[in-house]
Amino acid sequence: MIPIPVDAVPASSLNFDLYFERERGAAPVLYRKRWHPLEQADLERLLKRGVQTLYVPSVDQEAFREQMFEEVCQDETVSPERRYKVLRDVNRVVFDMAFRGRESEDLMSLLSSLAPQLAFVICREDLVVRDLFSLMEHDSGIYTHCVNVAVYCLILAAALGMTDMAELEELAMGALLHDIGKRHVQLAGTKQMSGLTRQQREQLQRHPTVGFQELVLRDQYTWAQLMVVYQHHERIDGQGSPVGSVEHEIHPWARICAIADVFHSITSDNAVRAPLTIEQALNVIDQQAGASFDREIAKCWNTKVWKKTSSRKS
Amino acid sequence: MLEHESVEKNELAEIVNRLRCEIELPPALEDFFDFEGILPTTADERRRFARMDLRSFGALEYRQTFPVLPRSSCWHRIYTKDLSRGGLCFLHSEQLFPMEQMHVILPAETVKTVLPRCERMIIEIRRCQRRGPRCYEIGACFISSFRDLAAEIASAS
Repeated sequence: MIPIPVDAVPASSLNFDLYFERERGAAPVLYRKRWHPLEQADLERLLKRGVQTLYVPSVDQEAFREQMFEEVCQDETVSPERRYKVLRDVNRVVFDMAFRGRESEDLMSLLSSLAPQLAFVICREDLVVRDLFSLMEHDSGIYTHCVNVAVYCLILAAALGMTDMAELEELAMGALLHDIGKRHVQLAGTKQMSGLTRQQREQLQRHPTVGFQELVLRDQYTWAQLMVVYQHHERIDGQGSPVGSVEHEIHPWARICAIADVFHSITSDNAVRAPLTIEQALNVIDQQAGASFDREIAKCWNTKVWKKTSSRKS
Repeated sequence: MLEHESVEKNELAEIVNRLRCEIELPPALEDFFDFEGILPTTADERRRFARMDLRSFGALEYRQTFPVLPRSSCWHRIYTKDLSRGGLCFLHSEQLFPMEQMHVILPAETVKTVLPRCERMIIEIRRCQRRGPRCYEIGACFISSFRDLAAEIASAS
């Protein structure tokens, strides 16, 4: 069963069954059969009863994700922030299951539909990153990390002048895939580097190489996407890994992803340290510009992206 | 030029030495050719075979391995660093990527002590680290010898 927050469900005739927990912790029972109209008043009644979550059977996951995108994410009357939140929530469980799966096919298939949807929702004139930040989750989970990094990459690339939607979708896919090499690291029960065995630490450090190896023989990925995966831990000063490439030897998309990756990591919950505020994190990016990060891209991130304020009327 | 089954070993070395070398040794590697002998192992060593220093020259032929990375078949002179029965470490002027497969020819006499039967091998790149602007240290494993390949082709046909 795929959980979905009640407030993310559109009042509509849905093409998938909905289940709910009659009592907290009980097995979900059928709430609404597919095609049976669901009204806003029904959803409000559920919330009033304290029901926060509905469930969709796993067999319906594709129809569910498709309809949620069409009904909510493509609806111009819905705010960009809410569209982002729904898109994020409907894909979470499927992503987590696919990421843990033995074969990568399910994950690749999910990401190939999520990437263009994310680009569609995020790359808009009226989206303000500070508004979005308050809605974004900041946990250290792999799904949150991949989606947030992809969101930041899209926003940064657009601010740098990338306007071609096909290119933005391609970048989103690369960013969603950037940590795919971590699929092979067994980290159960450990959330901090100090708690890892030497073997786990080595595996973790090798994740860009492992991710690259997993994707490079497939013909659906571009070199730019592969470089996002392989080079996102390289540093402009050559002190990064796995190669120690410098400056323009690092693909521009990997330079974008490096900033997005670090920004999300330092602003997210972590067992070792408290998350930094936006301002503190921007200071870190500024201090590392020219060493870890491309100076021009870092400047664009700190000024153009984060200084933008809303022009919408509330 | 390097189809060499009948070419004598010293002729092969001459051919390899005539290849243009584009590697720029950084200051830290100026004494690169001064080492020789068996390399020490460490407590956490996971290599299957002992490595021998092999500060010499070799030839590398690019092969098209990945659909998205065009490689034209051409020869490059490389500096070999060390060698074992399982693989090779060498310096090259360009970055190579994990899983790329290439041909390598090792004409040095000392190679015989480690690989007595073959000097032309197919390698698969395992790691690549930048040591300078035109200098990458590359670790590769042997996946097939030229003789093995000939046998494979013969048995398949």
